[in-house]
Parts: sequence; structure tokens; C-alpha cells
Amino acid sequence: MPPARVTPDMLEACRRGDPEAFDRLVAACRDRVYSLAWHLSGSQSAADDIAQDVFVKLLTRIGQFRREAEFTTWLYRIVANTAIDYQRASRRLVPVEEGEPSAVWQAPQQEERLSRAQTAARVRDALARIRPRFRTPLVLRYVEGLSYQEIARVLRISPGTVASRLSRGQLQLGRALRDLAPDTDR
Amino acid sequence: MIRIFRRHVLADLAAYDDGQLDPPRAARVKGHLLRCLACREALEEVRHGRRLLESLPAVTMPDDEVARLHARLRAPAVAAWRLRPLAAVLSIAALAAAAWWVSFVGIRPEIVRAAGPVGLERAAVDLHAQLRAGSVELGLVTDDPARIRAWQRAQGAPVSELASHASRDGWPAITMQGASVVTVDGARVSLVSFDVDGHRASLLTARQADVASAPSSAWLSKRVHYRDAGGHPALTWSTSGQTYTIVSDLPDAGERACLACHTSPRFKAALEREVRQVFGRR
Repeated sequence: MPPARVTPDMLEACRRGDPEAFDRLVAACRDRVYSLAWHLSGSQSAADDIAQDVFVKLLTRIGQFRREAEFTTWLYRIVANTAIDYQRASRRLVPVEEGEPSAVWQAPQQEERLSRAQTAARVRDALARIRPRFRTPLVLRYVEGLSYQEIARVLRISPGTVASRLSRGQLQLGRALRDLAPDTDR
Repeated sequence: MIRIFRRHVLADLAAYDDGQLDPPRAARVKGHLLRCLACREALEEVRHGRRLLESLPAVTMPDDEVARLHARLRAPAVAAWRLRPLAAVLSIAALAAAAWWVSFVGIRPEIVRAAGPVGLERAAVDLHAQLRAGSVELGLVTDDPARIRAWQRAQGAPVSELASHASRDGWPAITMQGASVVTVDGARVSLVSFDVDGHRASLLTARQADVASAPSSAWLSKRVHYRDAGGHPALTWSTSGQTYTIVSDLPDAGERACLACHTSPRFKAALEREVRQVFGRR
């Protein structure tokens, strides 16, 4: 069953302290939060902890949520800030990818899937090595699909700064993984 | 034209490629690209970076994390926030009381002596003996608890709540050896091998529903069954829908193996106090 959409009524019920509404809100947001946490932290175990912390913050701060602000923007900001706090606290400057299963357990017929998984692991690893100020816009744009204006609101920067940070970030990522380019003879 | 050529357009490349520039600026970038090889090459790198990001597969929260999240949101200290709009003052008092209860009472381990190894413990005793004899190999060899958890999750097996330990005075030296997934009575069970102060210990983690003789979860305390399994201490308990068994070469009740998952000094003190009460000074 697809997760429910976040609606104004659901948010209002959460603000009133309706536990069922909060459960629906969690169901609607958990994958988005988890995905963002994983790609911002570069580690699945960090994503576990970040996602947990985000929902506890969401529960305890939902009363502060201003109706005029868009909920998604607010949520993304909490995730981005929690991920940065986590990284500072754990002093993990270079996270280690740990989400892929051990090769010991991969059947030969799963080679193609393994190759995709390995590529994804390398992209996440390279992404984790990019400074957060460039990494966060990349994830919001190309993993979460936010517009430049939405990213600007989440990060409280101008759309022009979003554009330049995307350029810097994409350039760093592309250069770091040059060997994965279709034409590697350049 | 010369001025345009001199000013590189690196900062605009993502927006240009993304169709986000206004027409005059896009034309300016396009004009520059016609004349600047460095920026053309950079544009290819930018496009490559974008394709890589767009190739990332979708990620969803694993079921065991969903369960852990709901358990955490229902914990008294967090759940008290749900009542805030109804009775703010009472909630704060409840929050304080709940925090006190969880801190001082809720984590209290309660050890119960039980007869003979049963169910999951028999499998734990067999596997422990095989690991010690070197007749069974681990599927994953690592000393990193986080890697073991991630690997178990990737295998679709129960996830053991192993903690990462820093060296501390008065704490045992706990070193992970690795993990496997085994089948016990038709159910997938996680096996973790680790050392506690040089003594080998084997932890089995199963879904509580899959274990016929699983001890029941206790409310706000951890009820642990202790059994002597052929000279080895076996500890078994259930919590959050999972049943755990540790068989070890440790002395006494083997309770120090519990610290593989616990980092709280208060829990350690409570555990030692409980062992003294149940077994006397041994």
C-alpha cells in the first residue's frame, strides 16, 4: 500500500496531539527521511540513527510548525541539520559505506544487480567525500527532486547560490568517478 | 566577445544543463562554451555527475528500522509529548517520572534460573562448540559491529543490537569476530561470534514469533533466563519482538557478554548487582 500523502488536516491533527495522525505522518515521510539521511551521511547505520532522531524532533516540535511554511521544506531542513549534527558528533569525516551485502553471499547470476549496487555504493561513497555545503543541494536536487527555489528555501540561500553549489558539487562528483563515464578515453 | 571568453562559466554549468537559466544568460553561457574547451570539458563532468546521482536506486526504511522507530516513539519519555496539548503540566511531570523510571528501574535486568537448555539455546550450544572447534566458518568476518548489523539487514535476518565500544576502565574488552545466518527449526537466525576478555561467546538472534519456547518480554525490565548448558552459561531473553541467546566460555553467569549490546554504566552496575543477588559472591 503506498504511503499516505501529508495533508493539512493530518498536520493539524498532529499539532493537536493525535497519535494516530502522527503515525500516518511517519508512514508518509519515513522513506523520504531515510533516503535523505542515507545519502547525506553516506552510511546506512548513520541513516538509521539520523532518521530516528528526526522523527523524535518532529514529534516534539510539531507544535512549533508554522502553517505558512511548507511542511516538506521544514522537514528537509530538520533532516539536513540533523545529518550535519550527527557528522559533527561522530567526527566521521569520511564515512564508510556499509550498506551493501558481503560479496561472499552474492550468487553468480546476480552479477548485474551486484554491479549496479557497487556503482551505487561508489557514488554514495564519493558523495560522502564532498563537503556538506555542496553535497546537500546535490541530494535535494537529484535524489529528492526539489526545484532550485525549494532547495533555496530549505537551505536559506539564494537560488543563484544553489545553482553554483550544484555546479561545484556535480563537477567534483563527475571528476571523482571519471572512470565510470561512458567514454573514459578522454 | 573577448570579455565573455575571459570569464569562465563554471558556476552556471549545472543550471545551464538543467535548463534553469534565463534566455540571455543561457545564450551567454552557450557562446562561451563554443570558444572555451576547458568549460566544455567541465560541462561533460557536470553532466556525468548528474547522471551518476540520477542513477542512485530508491531507498526505503527497512522493516526492522520501522519497528525500532515505532518502539522509540512509543517510549514513555517520547510518547509523553503526544499528550502535551491535553495536559501540559501533567505531561512534564509524566516525562520526568518516565525518564526516572526508565533510567533507574526500566533497564533493570532480572535473572531467573531455569532448567536445562531448550529450543534456541540448544542450537546456540551446538554452534558455539562448532565455532570453537573451527568446524564452521562465519559468513562475514569483521570486528565492526555496525558492519555486522548492516550485513544482517542485507541478508534479511534478525538484526542484533550490537554496540560500538570504546575502551573504558572496568569494562571488558569486547571484540567482534563476525557473523553468519543459520536456520534453526526452519527460521532464519543471526549468529554473532565475539570475544569478551579473551573468552569466546556466541549470540543467536531470532524473531520471537519463530521461537517456540521464547521467554516473554517483561514490562519495563529485562527478564533473563539463565541455564547451565553443559558447563557453559546460557542467557536467554526477549525484547522488542526478538529473542536472544548467548552461550559463552565466560565464568559465572556469563553476564559480561551482555555488554556487547549495552554501553550504559548504569545497566552494567544493575547487571552486576543482579548477578550478586541471584548467585551470591562467586
